[in-house]
Amino acid sequence: MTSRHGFALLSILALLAACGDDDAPTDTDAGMTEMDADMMEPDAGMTIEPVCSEPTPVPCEDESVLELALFAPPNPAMITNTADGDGWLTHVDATGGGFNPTLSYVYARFTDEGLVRVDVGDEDAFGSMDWDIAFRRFVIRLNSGVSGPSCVSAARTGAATEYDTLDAVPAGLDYRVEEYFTPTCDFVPDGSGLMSPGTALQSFWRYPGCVQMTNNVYIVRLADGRQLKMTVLSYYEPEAQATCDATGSAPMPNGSGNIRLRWELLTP
Amino acid sequence: MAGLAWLAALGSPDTAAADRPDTPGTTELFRYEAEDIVESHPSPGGAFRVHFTRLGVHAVPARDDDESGVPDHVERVAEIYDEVLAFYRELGFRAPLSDASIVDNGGDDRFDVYLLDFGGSADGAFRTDACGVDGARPTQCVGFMVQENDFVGYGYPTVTYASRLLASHELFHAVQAAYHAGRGSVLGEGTAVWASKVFDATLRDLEHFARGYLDNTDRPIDRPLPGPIDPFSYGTGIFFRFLEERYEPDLIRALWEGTETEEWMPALDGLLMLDHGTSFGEAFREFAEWNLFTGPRADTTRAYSDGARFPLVKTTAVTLPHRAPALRVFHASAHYFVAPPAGRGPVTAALVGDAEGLELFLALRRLDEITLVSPGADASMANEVIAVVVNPSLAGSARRPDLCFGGLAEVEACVAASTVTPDAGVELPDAGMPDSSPDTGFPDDEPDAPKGCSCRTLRGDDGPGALLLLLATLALRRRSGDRSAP
Repeated sequence: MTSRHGFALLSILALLAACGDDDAPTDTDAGMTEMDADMMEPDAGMTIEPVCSEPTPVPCEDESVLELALFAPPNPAMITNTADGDGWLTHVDATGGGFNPTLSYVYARFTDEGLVRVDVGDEDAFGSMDWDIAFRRFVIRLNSGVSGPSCVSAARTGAATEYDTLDAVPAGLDYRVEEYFTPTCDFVPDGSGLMSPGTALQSFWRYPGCVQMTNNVYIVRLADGRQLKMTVLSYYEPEAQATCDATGSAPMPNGSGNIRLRWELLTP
Repeated sequence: MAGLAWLAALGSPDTAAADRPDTPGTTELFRYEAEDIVESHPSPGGAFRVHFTRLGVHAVPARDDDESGVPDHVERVAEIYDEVLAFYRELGFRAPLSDASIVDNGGDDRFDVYLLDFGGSADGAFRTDACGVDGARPTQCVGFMVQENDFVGYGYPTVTYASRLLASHELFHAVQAAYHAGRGSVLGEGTAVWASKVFDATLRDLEHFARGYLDNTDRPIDRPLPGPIDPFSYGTGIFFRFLEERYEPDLIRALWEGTETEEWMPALDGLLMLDHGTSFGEAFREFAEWNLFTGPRADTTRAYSDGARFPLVKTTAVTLPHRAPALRVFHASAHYFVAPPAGRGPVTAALVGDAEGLELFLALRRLDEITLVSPGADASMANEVIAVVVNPSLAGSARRPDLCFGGLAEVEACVAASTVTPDAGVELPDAGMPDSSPDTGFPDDEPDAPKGCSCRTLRGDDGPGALLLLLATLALRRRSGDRSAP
């Protein structure tokens, strides 16, 4: 691929500036020591500052359309939510029209009422701050960086993290925005050999011959500063997923493209 | 069909010789079992050696009606490869490069074909041994063929049909590798699909795969679809069929020669200029026209000789008047919009904004008859009006024009509403045109559109629509393609 967007590097630098320093504590008060700030995240008594509130130009749009096979019309697929304690179990129809997708990603935002579908297609999503996350097949994108004009980021927690017992944002996380294109718009694949984009959340699966769950737990930081924990449960229908996870091979048919995830807002 | 052969075969030229399917201890994806006894049979023409086994999962059908001691299927495969190579040589293509200097070369310098069970996962592939050997350039490669052993369960009409299809497609990859092994999957698969058709008109890969392109004409023709399965590259066989029929069959051979020194689209552009007095851009625009004449709308006097076997090109159905803001038009791509005229008489279309270099043409469909028309043509008797936006460029970023499509007054108002402002120095044509209604029916969804425009309307020389040609002369500031700036 060749460089066709000389502005890309500047755009990404501007994006990072607009979204703040990902490694810095998001909110501290004057009475806290640096150590204090490093060791804890804001609680209900603290003000949550937005990470960004204005859109940032999205670099590499043309390349995104071609490398990700993007479309203009919104994908009307369903998202359903089931209460899961203080969080949610969410099912996203991310089938996208099939193995060779023919439909836009399914765009959604995290709300107190669950993950809500946003009626926007791939093309218009480049200009929309309304969505946080997008799904199609085994690709999950965040609204940031080369993916969208917002500043939603995600960090993988430690390997031993249990979703159920995680009740606060761990310190020292390495938040990622979407950078599946280089500043010169060269595509950055996920390394699986499937030539899908190397997204911030790509490590929710591995591919030993089927899409196997890693059970990684992520912290997702939204543009308004709120954070949530999230883990992806399955890409296939649950029974097929269990087979894939256990054997490295998925039965047929297997209901691929049906993403099920658990998530819970950690900050009010 | 020909599986993922291209990716496997020509993805990364190198000079390290690969294993063969019968190399002891090989980890090749498709290989014989350790206990298999692999025999071989030279082709009558002398250029091929077919390797096979009689027992186990890779066994070939045992039938031997001529009692030659060699299974009939093996003999037939050998004869077919001879026939295919002779045909390509007759067309002027090079033979595959010799593997004489490769140590693990199947026993001699003949081109090797290994019959193996693919288990339904694919049906054949050209595999690269090494590149740059015996004085060849590093991009010229030698290799061998692996082919399904019996085609049981594959759904081909006959085993002979399957063998002819596989041999003609995959051997063409070996031919390509004698020119340049790294020119991408579109040229590789597209011309291999084309080659099968030229070799034997009864083979149906061209028709079978054409949808892969005709469903995705809005992609640049040199950019494969992402993902592990790419119907687009195979589907571009229809483009090479167009080149063959519109210009000359020898153009494809000349194109492969041209790719020795440059990428295929610039090479094609040069050939078209040198030998045919045209350009890639002009040819691509005509290709976009030909693609209207497929399926029941085929017209052998206007387009493909076998257009009736191709599917219809994918279109976007709209309602007139229609405005498509910031349409993304990649280089070497085409968008097709269709709408019922809904009582309109004269119809036209215009591109507003970032339209430099784009082409726009109209057609009418009445039943299964397609007629290319000038702007302002009377659509009252048509079932559909078709507007085609073409970017004939060889390369470059996508253009982002607004498309206005409808009746004359509707398009005039759409153009005005899109980007034209009084201080841009634009005078809208009014002679003979109905007054614009205050409410044109176009949503005013871009109130902050940049000032000024460049506009490209339909080319035409008659009728009221010609008045819109005034707009085509504007060369004002190009619209920003960035819609998300604060």
